[in-house]
Amino acid sequence: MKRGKIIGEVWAARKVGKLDGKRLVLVGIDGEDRVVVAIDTLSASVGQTVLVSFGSGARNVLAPGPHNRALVCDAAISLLEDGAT
Amino acid sequence: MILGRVTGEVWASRKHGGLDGQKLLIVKPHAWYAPTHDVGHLIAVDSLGAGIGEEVVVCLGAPARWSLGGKTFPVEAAIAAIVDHTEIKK
Repeated sequence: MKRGKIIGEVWAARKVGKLDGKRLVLVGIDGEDRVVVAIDTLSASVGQTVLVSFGSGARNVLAPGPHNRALVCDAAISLLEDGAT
Repeated sequence: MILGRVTGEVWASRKHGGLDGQKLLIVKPHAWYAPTHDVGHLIAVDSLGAGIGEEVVVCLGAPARWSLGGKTFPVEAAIAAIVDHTEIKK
């Protein structure tokens, strides 16, 4: 997982099957000049600090593994942060 | 997943069997969404019919193979969505 901040959102009517109805958000990854598109199931708002799961961890956010490999997703919001030191 | 723009397409008759019948698009990741390593372009399989010039969301890694039905396919990027609208509040 990585820590990041929601900086925007992506709307796409045409998505691969399993992603229909899922919300796509843009996350700036802390400390890296990198922005990824992640699936959001926790209704994160822009500006919020979140944790992003990658790879099979991301698929497990959407559907319990291991038979969830057909999910075309490699990044998903797994936590909305309240605080951290 | 990363955001990019479709800049072209690849077609060929002699290729790995796993690529038969697959639409192969050339995608240029948005520069300002630069991943840690510099990615000039990548080739993604497309099941949605994205056109050249369209903005797309690309899923990387194993899900791209599984989207074709298994882990024996020589691909590691697949088009997950064709973007209608993006909003950034930096």
